[in-house]
This record gives sequence, structure tokens and C-alpha cells, in this order.
Amino acid sequence: MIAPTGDVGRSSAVGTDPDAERHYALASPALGERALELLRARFRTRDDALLAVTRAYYDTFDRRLAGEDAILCRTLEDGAHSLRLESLSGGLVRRLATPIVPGFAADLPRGPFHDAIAPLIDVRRLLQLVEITGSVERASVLDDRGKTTVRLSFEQWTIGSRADRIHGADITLLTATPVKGYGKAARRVCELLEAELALHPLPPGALLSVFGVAPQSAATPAATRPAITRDMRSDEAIKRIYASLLETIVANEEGTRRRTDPEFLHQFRVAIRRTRAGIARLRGVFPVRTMERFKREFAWLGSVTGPMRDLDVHLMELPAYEAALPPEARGDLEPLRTHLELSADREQVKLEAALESERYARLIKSWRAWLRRPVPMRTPLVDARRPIEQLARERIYKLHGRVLKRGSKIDDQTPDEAVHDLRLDCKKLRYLIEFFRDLFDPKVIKQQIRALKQLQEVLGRFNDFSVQQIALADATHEMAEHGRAPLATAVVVGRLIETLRGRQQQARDEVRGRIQTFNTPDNRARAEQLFAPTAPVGTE
Amino acid sequence: MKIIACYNLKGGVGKTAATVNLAYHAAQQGARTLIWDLDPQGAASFYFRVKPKVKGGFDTLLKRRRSPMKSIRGTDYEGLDLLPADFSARHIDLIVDRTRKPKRRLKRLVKGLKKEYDCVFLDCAPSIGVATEVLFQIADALVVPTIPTTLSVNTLKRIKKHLKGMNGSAPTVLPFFSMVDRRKQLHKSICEGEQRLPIDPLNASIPYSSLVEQMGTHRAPVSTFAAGSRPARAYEQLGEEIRAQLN
Repeated sequence: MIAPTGDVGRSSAVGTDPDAERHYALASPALGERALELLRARFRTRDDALLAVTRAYYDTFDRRLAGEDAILCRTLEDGAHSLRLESLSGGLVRRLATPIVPGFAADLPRGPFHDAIAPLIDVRRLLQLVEITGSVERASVLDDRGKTTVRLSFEQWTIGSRADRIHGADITLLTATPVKGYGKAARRVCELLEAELALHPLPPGALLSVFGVAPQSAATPAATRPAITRDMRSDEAIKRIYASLLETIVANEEGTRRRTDPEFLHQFRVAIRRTRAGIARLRGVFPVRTMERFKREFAWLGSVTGPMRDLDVHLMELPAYEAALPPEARGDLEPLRTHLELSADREQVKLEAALESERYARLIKSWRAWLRRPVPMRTPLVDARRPIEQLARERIYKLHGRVLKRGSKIDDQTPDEAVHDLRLDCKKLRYLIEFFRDLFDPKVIKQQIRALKQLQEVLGRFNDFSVQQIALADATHEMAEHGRAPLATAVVVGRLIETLRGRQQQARDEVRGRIQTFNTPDNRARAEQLFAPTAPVGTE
Repeated sequence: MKIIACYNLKGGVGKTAATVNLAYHAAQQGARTLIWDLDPQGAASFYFRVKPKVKGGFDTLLKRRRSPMKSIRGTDYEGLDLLPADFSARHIDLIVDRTRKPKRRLKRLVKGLKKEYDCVFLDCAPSIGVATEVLFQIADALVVPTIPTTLSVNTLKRIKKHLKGMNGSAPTVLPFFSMVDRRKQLHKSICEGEQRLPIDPLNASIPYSSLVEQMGTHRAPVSTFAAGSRPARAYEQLGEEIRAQLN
């Protein structure tokens, strides 16, 4: 939770903090003038400035800032840009004078402002929710020493940028902001406004809704769990799983195409990978020829979206790379960032082309049509009509056995390829278990997933560090080809690769121990209890 | 939260001016900043037009009978607050001396500010006694404005000697040249390192300037009425150097 630098809170009957900032939506500009006149007559005031102001409010697509009662505002006032982290319930949290347009946390200069925002948005991109332009007339209420006790601003806004005043709906606001420690003065000001002009303050947190911003946007378009039951026919159940994955693919398509946030492409790809894992691991349920075609097409979709995801991950890793370097060497990574951003822009064009291609449209259309087609009453495929629980247990059991077998062969001398193969098997096993998790005892399956996750964590780390080394080496190579690799950058990247190699080795050293932890009698017994087939395998 | 004490045993060295301008700069950089005016003269409070009064006095504050948050006042600048001076602080040594476990009390008092502020500047009174000793123990850095004269250099020696006795809990001492008048031969020679200082000074130095004196009439930090001027830039540079030292 973010604490605004407001006064110590006191609650009133209406539930608003009397010492917090108050906004009054006014029916007409004339009313605002009257309010200022009234205050000038009753208090010692000072007229500060009349400014042309542009404000743009930012949050991530899943409203991470709003979740912490915060909002980021970029203002242009008197020719100067600044970023303001504000509390939604009123009041400034932090301010930074900078012309930077918000994007990722890494785009902000290092310092307290960055440090306040970074943990809130994590890897998300800040997106503009609304832009407003208008004029702000500022005044201050002063005490007998000439000290500001209340800041007043009379604001006339239009939604949209100066160039596109599309809405034309003018909004007039009067805002009274108490200076900390002078709550009494602010209360007197507000009481006067409310009594004499019958003004009502906006409820706390309602300011953005005045500008047409919905309080919450759609949540992350992640997969919804399909409704499947134990005795459902396998083909029917699996089609439902694929259908819910297709929903995820489609829901993330727009965000991927517009590059709203890397999360969209990530979810898009995860759904594709899950679909592919399903097609590969749940064979024998649908005709081979049909599945071969979809398998090929989804593999294509996976490959055309891969490079962009790799670049996204790489860009997200940059702050961590920087942190691994001594402060004076951090600037040397800038050419790498520029290079990655340029490559990402290029890749995005290709990705968009792929998503707009005939091939993609055909794949989605035919996949959807096939999923909607009812399952046949009679089928020569034996597995198609088996209850899904049987099939699920059988396939998971088999794969689980393979993971254990592969794992038991790995020691500190085994080539890295075997570790990679184990990682891929674990991933497929995880997908399978998650497809069918509703068929099992929720508590027990959760424990099983947790055990698998721990093994996957170290395997993932091992893989990430290896991929990162290759990607860094490739990036420097490409930069050198384009003559964009200063020596200093090549040197730091070399150092980074060394660090990553060390970390990869560290992860590699942990692999064996984790496999042993996964392959304990307890874990094996639990897997046996969960997945061992109840009916003779492969027959009905 | 970083605590930066602005201190010199000697008075009139540009201590309050440094506190006010450095704190203003920190706030401008996005740090939630507080100035604690510990000087009974209340110069920092004066600059911000805040009444130099703390309800119950310094004693109440130290004994935490009243939350310091209740005495804190917002300045006219966003992100910059002030815990005003109180005349009772002239007896600060006596109060601290009479208080049981003053260091622990002060630490707790400061801990309560942690959630609200990133940066606390202490504008200390020019004296040396039990109170300053306790304040030094809670500070991360001791910023010492030093006029480049022989006498000031001697003062710096005394401060160094005094801190030596504190062992591990001593703050980082960051002296800088203040009120530098390059026309004076002595100032010039000391600034250029001809006479070695007992502690290495920061690179930024504050020039002697009428703009700094005008803070009294404007009752505002230099950057607000003379943005981009030499002293304004010098304070910004000094602020950045201190930040780098503390990170």
C-alpha cells in the first residue's frame, strides 16, 4: 500500500479524510471564478499562476498501480515535464522532473522515484489511460506568516491531446490540497465552499472516472480452466481443453499485435506451447492426419513468435545485467539496449505480418471449426471414447516414469543435453498435470505440482543462463557486424557472459540434489497414488 | 531512509543554506525529504516561513510523548517537509543528558519516520556536546561546510578527532568548501589542495554569492528564484555527490 504524504488521517461521517485533497466538479467555469472570489474575500490568498497544462495518466494493462492505490501522471506545465506518482485517494507520493515518457521501469532514471515504481509494476509496461489538456489557475491560501497552507487550483479540462479534442466534453474542477500540518486551514476552506456554494467533493479515488477512465480494466487474459469431469469421453474433454487454450490465444492476439505489454505475447505463446504439448502427448484420440496438420501449423506459429519473445526476455533481463556490473560500467550496456530495441522493432514487424497472414487466419479458423464439430458417436479410435480420467492417468503416469528414469541417469558428469531433455519432459509433464488437475484430489495434486515445480525451477535456471549467454554472444556479434559494438560494451558483455557461465554451473551443480529431492519415496508414492492406471492400460 | 546531518562546530559557515538547498534538491529528484531543524535559532524554519515551535518542546519529542508526525509541516514545495525548530532546543544537551538511553530513544523516533521519508536532513546547532554525539550516531553522513581558511581547517581536525572515539558507529564525514571566494589567495590555495585537509573534501564547492544571502529575503531555496545560477548548480552538484557517496 502506498502512503501519500498527506496528514495523519482522521475519518469523517462521509468516509473521506478531511485532510486529504478534495476535488469539486463544477457545473460551470463561472462557478469556479465565484469560488475563487469568495476565498479571496475570506482568506489571505495569493494568485500564483495561470498555466496551460497537459496531463496523461498511466498504469499497466492489469492496473498494478491502481491495485496499490496509486497512479502515475505525466504533466507538462510551463514547458517543463514531470512525472508524479500520486495516491488514487488523493495526494502526491513522489515527483520527478523528467521529460521521459513512462514505459518500463528500466526506462526511468535510477533513484528514489524508480525504486518506488519498479516493485509495483515489475516487468509490466506503463500504458497511457487518458490524456487531458487544459488550463490551471493556481492560488494559495496563506497564513499570517505568508506560508502556504492550502493549495488551490481551478482547472478546466478537455479529454484528449491538444491536437485531437475529440470528446469536447469540458470538465471544470476546483481542487483544494492541504499542506501537511495545516489541515485546519484546509477544513475551513472546504467548509466555506461546501456551505456557501453547495459544492460536493468527489468521493476519494473518483477523479479518474471524471475523465472517463474505467476503475478497472479487463484482467490478464490468462487461461480459464475448462469444465471437464472424470467420466467424460476423452475426445470431448480434450477438445474442451484445446478450446479454452484457443480462447487464451485469441484474447492475447490484439495485445501481441500492438505490443501493449510483453505479457500478451508471453500468454499467447504459452497457450500455443500447451496446445502443442497436448497434441503430442495425447495421441490416439483424434485421427492422425488431422492432428499432423495442426501440429505442423502450431509449430510454425511457435517459431514465428519465438524471436520476439526472446528479445522481450532479454530486454527484461537488462536491469539484472546492469546490477551485476559495477556502477561505473553500467553505462557501457547502453549500446546493447539500443541494439536489442532496434532488433525488437524489426521482429515486431515480422510478428505482426505473421499474425495478419492468411496462414494464421486459416489456422485459427480451421482449428476453431474442428473444435466446434461434435465428437463422432462411432470411432475406430479406441482411446477416443475412454473416460478421460483413465487416459489422463495413463499418459501422466508414463511421462512421470520417464522423468524419473531420465533423472536417475543424471549425475555431475552427464552432458548438458541430457539435462535439457529432462527439462523439456518436466515441462510437458507439468502441462499434462495442469490440463487434468481438476480430476484429482486438489490438495494432493497441489503437493505433486509443487514438488515438480521445485525441480523445474533449477532446470529452468540452468537453461535460462545458458540461453542468455548465447543470446548475449549473438547480440554482440550482430552489433559488431553493423559496426555498433564499442570496445567497452564488448568487454562488459564478455564479463557478463563469464558471470552467467558461473551461475549456470551453480545451477548445474544443484540439479542432482533436486532430482533426488523429487525422487523421494514419498513423492513416488504420491505419484503412484495419483496417477497409477486403475484399468488395464490401453484397453477398454 | 538516509539521514544526513549538516554540521559544523563553527557557526556562520553556510550550514543552514546547505541544508535547505540540498534538501530541496533531493525533493526535486523524487526523494520524500524532511528537514529537522535542530538549531534553536530556527533559521531553516524561517526560510520556509514555518513557526519555530514544537508542541511540548524538544523534550516531548525525544521522549515520544507525541508523534513527530503531528509537528511536521509541509513546506511550500511538494515532497519537502519540515520538523520545525523549537526554542527549547537551546537546552538540547541538558535534555539529552537527563534522558535515559537517549540514543535508543532517538533511534526509535527516527524509525517512525522511515515509512514517510527517503531522506532526512538534520540542521544541527554549532556546538559539540552529548546531543551532537547522539545525533552523529544515527546519521549516515555528516556533511561539513568548511570555509577555506586555516581556522576552519583546524575545526575539521577537531571534528575528525572527536569522531575517532566513536569507533564503528561514526557516520561518513563529507566536508565541502563553502562560501568560497576565489579572489582571496587563501581560499584559492586551500581549494586547490595546497594545504592538505584532514579529511578529503567533496569536489563540489559552494561559491560565496549574494544569491545565497538573498535566500533570507526570498525565504526560499536558491534554485526557486535563481535557477541555473552558479550557487544553484553548485548545490545540485553537491547533492548528487552526496547521493553517490551514500549509495
